[in-house]
Amino acid sequence: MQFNLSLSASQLFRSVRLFEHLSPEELSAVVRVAQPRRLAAGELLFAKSGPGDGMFIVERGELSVTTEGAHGEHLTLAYLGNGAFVGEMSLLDGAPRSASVEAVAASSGFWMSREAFSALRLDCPSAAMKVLWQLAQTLETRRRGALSRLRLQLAQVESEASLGHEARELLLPLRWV
Amino acid sequence: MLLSWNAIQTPLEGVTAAQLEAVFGAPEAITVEAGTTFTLRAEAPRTAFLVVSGALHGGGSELRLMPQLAVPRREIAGLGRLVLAEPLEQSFAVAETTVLVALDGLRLEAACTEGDAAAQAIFDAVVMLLSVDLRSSNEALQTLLQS
Repeated sequence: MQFNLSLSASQLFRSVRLFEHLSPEELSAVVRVAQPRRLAAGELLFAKSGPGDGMFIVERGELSVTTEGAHGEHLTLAYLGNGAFVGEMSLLDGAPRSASVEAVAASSGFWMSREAFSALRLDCPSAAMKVLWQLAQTLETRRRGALSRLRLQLAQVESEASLGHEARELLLPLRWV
Repeated sequence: MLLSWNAIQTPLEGVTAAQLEAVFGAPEAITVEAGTTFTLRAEAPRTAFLVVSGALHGGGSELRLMPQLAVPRREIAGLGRLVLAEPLEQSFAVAETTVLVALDGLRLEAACTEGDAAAQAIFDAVVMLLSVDLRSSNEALQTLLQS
């Protein structure tokens, strides 16, 4: 049973972009720290603002990523299917969740906790660093995208006086390059 | 002119002078004269620059609206280049004589992949800065969109 589980996990992990640069040995080390997990339809994987304590890789089923709009309305940001992964940034920074994720249908996959990933950094540092490096590049791509959108938004503002005080306070500490 | 990491402040939380020395080598001062421009070059897309003294001032809508924004002393211009190549050139105005130190992202990546503990400490600190920055950018964007 354990052998079949590992085999299925290896096949799944090999198809995930996050692990594409890993050697077979490194991939095995990653698979060893992942725990199989099942979710019933409607079950919450994690809630917005909850602790950033790990990531989930979807083997089967469907999950939704949701948040609340400015007026408290329910917004669905994405649906995740086989081979998708979510919560991966928590491996980098452990920061609170930026959205909620729940199973739309009965789902299964693998949970990799932040704690287990820390153990991987000791057991197989090359595997952990390859994954972390990939995540850091994703993080930087998102940061550049956010800054571009901010610049576009600011280009439409005519003067500093028309920028709200709150917005000015938020803009000051940003790294623009 | 060679400087000493012991005498240089960085925004990299928890990173020691010895770790910086181990990964980037001895810091070499790059002096940019007042009244000139400094450019992050496309042909060196993995090089970032730590501002040791002085400041770099950019352009663009954010600086038109908030001229106090700059890359001040102890901050890193092109921080994200340490993890991801930035193919665009970006120029800065230099109002006062400014001293910079180059940080090589390729060197950092190579040392991390080899399992070097000093490089991993630097990597963790860089990622933390980028992560905080992404969250702040998203918050600022939401605030602007809602105002």
